[in-house]
Amino acid sequence: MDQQTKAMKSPALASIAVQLVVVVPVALVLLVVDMLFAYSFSLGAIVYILPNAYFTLYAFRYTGARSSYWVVKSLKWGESGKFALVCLGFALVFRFVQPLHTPLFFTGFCSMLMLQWWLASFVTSKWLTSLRHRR
Amino acid sequence: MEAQALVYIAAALLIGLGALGTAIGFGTLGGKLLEGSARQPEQGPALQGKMFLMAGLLDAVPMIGVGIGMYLIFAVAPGMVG
Repeated sequence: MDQQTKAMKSPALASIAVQLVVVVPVALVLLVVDMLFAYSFSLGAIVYILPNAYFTLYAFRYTGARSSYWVVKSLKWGESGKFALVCLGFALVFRFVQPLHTPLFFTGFCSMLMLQWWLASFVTSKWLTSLRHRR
Repeated sequence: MEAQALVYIAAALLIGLGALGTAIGFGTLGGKLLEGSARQPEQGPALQGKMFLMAGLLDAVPMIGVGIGMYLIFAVAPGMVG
């Protein structure tokens, strides 16, 4: 590895925290209605949150023009791992969780996916700001 | 039995084509990041942030495809036996 390659502090934990702030209240509201609804929604969210945290951890591992090679390499491993973890998560839930409310499970997954679009721009701007302050 | 085989083929196509699309997209994205960083090194971190944003948009549809594929394999296909 190049000596100029810089290791970065990843925003993965902040990303998980924001997503949990959304999931927990929704799950609590659903818990009042039905336990099945609550855990189906939560499982859908978790199946997205954990692989996404893995990807975020890898995507922000390195920075700087000199470490572009490592940035792209870690992006590749992050995305491959995310894809595999999502496959594994879905397989485990559909195989072992019975009963499951499938529409709410997918709602949990898709809501976290859409939250990620907003979160990505927010986390990115925060991360860039912290990077500028560090210089 | 034949219908169950078709379900498995559908799931395989969903997951396989989703992975192929993601691979092409990420290959292009990574290549452009390298190009951009080489041309304007000072823009490297900004480009990386934008790449992260685009990565989220890029893998959304394949991820849902994977979910539906897994649903077909583990929930729909076993119910078709017999």
